[in-house]
Amino acid sequence: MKRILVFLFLAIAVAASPLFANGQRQKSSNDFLLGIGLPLTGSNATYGVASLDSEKLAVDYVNSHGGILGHQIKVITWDTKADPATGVAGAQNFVSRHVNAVVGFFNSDVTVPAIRVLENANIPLFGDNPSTPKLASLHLKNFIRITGDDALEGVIQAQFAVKKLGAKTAVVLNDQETFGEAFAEAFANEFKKEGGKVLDYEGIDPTANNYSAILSKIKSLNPDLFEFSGFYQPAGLLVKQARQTGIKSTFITDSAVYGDKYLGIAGKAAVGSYMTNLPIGSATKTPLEQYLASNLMSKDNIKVDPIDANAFDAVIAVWHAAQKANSIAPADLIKVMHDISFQGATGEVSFLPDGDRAQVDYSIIEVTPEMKYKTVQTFKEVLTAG
Amino acid sequence: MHDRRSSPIIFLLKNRVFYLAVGTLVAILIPLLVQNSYVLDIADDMIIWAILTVGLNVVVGFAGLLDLGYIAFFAIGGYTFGILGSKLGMNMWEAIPIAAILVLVASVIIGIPTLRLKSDYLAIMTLGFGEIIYLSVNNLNSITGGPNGLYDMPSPSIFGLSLQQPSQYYWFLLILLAIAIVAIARLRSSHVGRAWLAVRQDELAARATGVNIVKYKLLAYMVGALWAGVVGVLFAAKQTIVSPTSFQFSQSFYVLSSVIIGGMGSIPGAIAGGFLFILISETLQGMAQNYSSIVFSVALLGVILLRPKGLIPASVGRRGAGLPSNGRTAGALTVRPALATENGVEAEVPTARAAPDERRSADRPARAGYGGGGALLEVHGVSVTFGGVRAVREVSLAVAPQEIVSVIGPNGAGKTTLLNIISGFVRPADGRVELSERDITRLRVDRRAQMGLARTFQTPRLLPTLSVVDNIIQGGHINFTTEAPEVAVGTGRQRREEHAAREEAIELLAMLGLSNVADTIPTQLSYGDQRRCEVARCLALHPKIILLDEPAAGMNAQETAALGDLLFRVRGLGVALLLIDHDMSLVRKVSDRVSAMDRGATVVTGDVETVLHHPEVVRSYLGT
Amino acid sequence: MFLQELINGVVVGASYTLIALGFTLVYGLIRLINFAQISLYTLGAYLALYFTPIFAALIPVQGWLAFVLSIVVSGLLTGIAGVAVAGIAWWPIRRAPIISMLVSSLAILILIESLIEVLISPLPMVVKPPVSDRNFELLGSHISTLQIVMLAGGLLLTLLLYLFIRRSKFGRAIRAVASNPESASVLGVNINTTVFAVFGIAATLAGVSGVLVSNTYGVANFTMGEIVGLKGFTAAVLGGMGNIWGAVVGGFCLGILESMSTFLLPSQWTAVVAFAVLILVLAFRPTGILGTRLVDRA
Repeated sequence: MKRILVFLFLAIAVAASPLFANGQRQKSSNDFLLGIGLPLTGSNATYGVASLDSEKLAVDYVNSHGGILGHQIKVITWDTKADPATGVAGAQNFVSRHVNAVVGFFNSDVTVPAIRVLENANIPLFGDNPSTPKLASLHLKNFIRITGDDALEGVIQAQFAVKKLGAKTAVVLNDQETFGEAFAEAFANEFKKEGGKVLDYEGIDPTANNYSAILSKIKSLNPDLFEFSGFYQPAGLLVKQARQTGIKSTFITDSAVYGDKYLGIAGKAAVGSYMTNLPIGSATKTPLEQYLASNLMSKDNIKVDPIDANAFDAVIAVWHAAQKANSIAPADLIKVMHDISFQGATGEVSFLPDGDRAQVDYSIIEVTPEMKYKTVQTFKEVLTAG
Repeated sequence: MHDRRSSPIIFLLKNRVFYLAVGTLVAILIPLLVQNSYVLDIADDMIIWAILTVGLNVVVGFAGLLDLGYIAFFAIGGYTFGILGSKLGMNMWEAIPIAAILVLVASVIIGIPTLRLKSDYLAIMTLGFGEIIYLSVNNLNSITGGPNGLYDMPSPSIFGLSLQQPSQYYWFLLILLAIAIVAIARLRSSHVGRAWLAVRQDELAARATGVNIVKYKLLAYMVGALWAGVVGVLFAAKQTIVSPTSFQFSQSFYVLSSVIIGGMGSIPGAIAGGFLFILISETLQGMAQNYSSIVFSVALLGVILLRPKGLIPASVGRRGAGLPSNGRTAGALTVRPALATENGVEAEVPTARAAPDERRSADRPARAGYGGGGALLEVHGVSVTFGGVRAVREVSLAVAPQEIVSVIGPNGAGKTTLLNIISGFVRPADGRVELSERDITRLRVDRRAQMGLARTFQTPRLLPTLSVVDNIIQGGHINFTTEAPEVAVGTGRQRREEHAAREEAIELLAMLGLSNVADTIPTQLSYGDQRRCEVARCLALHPKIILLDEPAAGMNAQETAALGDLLFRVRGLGVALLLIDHDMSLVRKVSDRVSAMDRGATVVTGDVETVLHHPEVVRSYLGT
Repeated sequence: MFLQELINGVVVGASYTLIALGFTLVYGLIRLINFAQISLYTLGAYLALYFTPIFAALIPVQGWLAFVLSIVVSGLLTGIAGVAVAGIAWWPIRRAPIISMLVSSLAILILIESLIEVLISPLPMVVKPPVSDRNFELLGSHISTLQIVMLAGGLLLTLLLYLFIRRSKFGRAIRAVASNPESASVLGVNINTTVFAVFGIAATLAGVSGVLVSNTYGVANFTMGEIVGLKGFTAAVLGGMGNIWGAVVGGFCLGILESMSTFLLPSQWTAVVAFAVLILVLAFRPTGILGTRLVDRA
């Protein structure tokens, strides 16, 4: 008897399962179906959720302005859990539901396999934040991305460090994750190219809370500055503990660290640290940037950061691609996606043939003694196809 | 009243073959009927996960080793293809055998220090190794691509057709799963599986029947690793990327949960657990929070507390294909000549056992059935101390071939300790033990069993989930010469060995009058019957000598008398006996010689009447 | 230079010792590795996140008093949680094979962590201690107030535990059950109460450690117990499982080893160092530095 129950249970589980649910929902032919794949749970959840909020804001904006060629955008989301296999399943799911376009996937190592699935199905991917240089080197025809690649932020930081700060020696640290590692490598290479000396280059454990060992090493090497690429918890802890042990070297980090949490963890030690970011507090903002900023502030009481802005623009790019192609068919979107250009929340948006952003505005910001962020230099970087 | 048993539907639903047939049919039909690539992608994931679960089930469910780092082997398989594919352009087909070898080597390297430990330390050690593998692939940027992973592996192709769609991978994965199931099921219903069961349920009994505990634990570990490694290659190929995020501790935890929830030790349970895991994960997909961990940890807890056997429990008491226990061959016994009488007339050995050459392996000394020449067992001046008390003091003893020697004495005299020294469970501080003129004082228990030394225990130690006949067959473990690869494939030689062992066990049961309980499990038998089964199990080993620890305990006069007759029959087969007991009627009846002990030392050794009338013996033990 | 490394190692080691104490206590009594403890460490830290601001608001000027109260309350609540965990995950299956107990303990660990992740936050949280954290210079090396507190706390707790086990009546009961449960029950010791109490004590230790460490470093997140937990376990094994002073010795040795290793290996490999130590100890000297003891001969 028990065996029968178990069999029935399994049969029902299979029948009720997403195998037959997720895969079969029909869409009404009047909608523009947009698939959004992001890490909504797991270690990158905070960025995934933030991206989703911005992307939904963009969808609302487009829908309130007549939609895409008269079609309202309908969103289906997929939680990639920052795991490639789950991301691939998501891409497959989007394909089976005949989406018109996909926005995503935040994580580089999720985007690479997922995009191949989309490529086989001739569906375009409008990348928000996957920043590995690898994606451009694949020369995929169905891909563009709003973010600059990792290499770029590192290059800009190194330029600033050498030219503005006059640093000659540096210690370069990273969190041994995809973004941090690529970024640190770019920084180190550019720093050396500009004549600087990298005294030590290593990864740290981002889950640890005590960095005294590596900081002792840094203290004994006494570099002009030390750089860390990663997220806010290790960045905050590093700079705080560095100042506690009397390290005077300047601290410079990346745009993923930006936010209140960094200041909260580091406390006073954050004063005088630098990081890359989008231009903040500049007088002239594009209309979309204003829209995004005011909505994020009123809804979630947070300020715009590059991740939000990139996500927002990815959806806007879809809109412009459809307008340019005068069609919502995925194949038509692919044909024109590299040729669009517009003023987005991230400034002037246009693309290179390999999918990379043609021009990115970055700035270097500093933490003031009043514990506020202030722009100290802006860069307008023009990329060339790699 | 409607006879439910005759209803065909009920019959179908109770029959395991039905489920197998339905499952196979569904599995084959799915890619033909379903065109949705998402569904097929999920189906692929289900099969991959089922292979992992079936593999871990061998380690955890069969051999009872709590492995918390299993996913490391999956990682090694995936990265083998990743590295060789992206750096050397090697294709998936070539990577599979290389990954298999690497994973086997890794499992040996990890296994040897780990598998000797107790369950809890073993668990932590495997966790540690799992983390080391994960950290290594994450940090060795130049080799493994670091956190970004490796992307450039060539897409596999077969007969010129490039594999890119989930539907194409489906068939290969399904075939791999089928091979895994068959091979592992074959292992389980063979002497390997019985040895694993013994290792898991009763290490003492396992060692006493000649099972090399470390070897079998390592074997289970290697079998599990092999499947994870091979499916790792397919996984990497299907995903086109291999990155560290797929190989974290949480994955090891989920595979373990799938095994336990599905049913530890049960192959259909493992498959069900694996399938269910993917189904539930996909159902929870898209929820705002990480509910998967909560759901699975609660489910795991629920299973452990409420239904520890899991969804589809491992079957009890039925092991492997084979002859029905009281089938055609039973008739052959009536042709046998009468067995031994009290005078110790040599009996004719049943033909099933008369061809020992077939079962002799090259590196083991030939043992021609029962018996052997010379002074069989010699104990010279052994002593051992426990916690300040000298349990055994310079005891010496000898047993000649086919002799029956009894050891008597009050409780605490050191009799069982002496037995444990002879059988190898206790190391003496001084003295020597020799079997067939070979010094076995420091020899492992299972090696002594291989030399022909069998024993019973004070409380019968039969394996509780094996039928009686399977217990007997397990007792003959050392007589099997085929190793795991032959078993997995199912060569003719292995099948013949298994068949012969089963026939022999049936005959032994008949000889001991236990044929009617052949298919029951030991816990349903009376103590007396269990003891006789233990003796039968000893005989399956083809021993030269059997040590019996209080065989008559708890028996009434009738049963004791029957026991005495049994012992004579055993002796008649050419086996010497050394027994400890408190029942003087038995001792008087069967013993050729008696040795009396008191407070760890030998008081006197000699023929029955001399010893039993010795004043010291009377004073210290027998009383007035 | 070397002194700084030593100080660093000792401070890190203190956090390992605190966790090791809990493991060694439970293992010394019932030979079980209590994985669940790892999540109780996290629970303690999160409870303090809630209570510290409350106490700080109630007693505005006395930051230290608020801190101590928060530690005590969080510790006690975690202790109760530990007893509850024992009731769910150990008591019903206490006669089952050890694999069942290990797995249920693991399930509880994942469950508690996931509940914290889902109900509170998956993101790292900023922890603001109610006391000011000043830096001291000691012969050219640095150490901060809270680090000293953590160090002192670790030693103090070890001492208290040791005295409790050796001198108190209940401590005698624990030792009796650890060395011989049968004779202990004959002598009138209630074994079950003793075991539950030990689970509670170990949980309290874990919870207090969580508060101390999260305040010293200023962050907490729901997986914070995992790596520290494994290193704490390594420290317990290294020092001698079941041996209270072994937890101290093991913790400090491991901390110092890790500190020193950054000169040879890049620091992303630090966790591997801890695992390698564990594996080597279990392979070559499983009884640890001070030798495995039952709790009776701490």
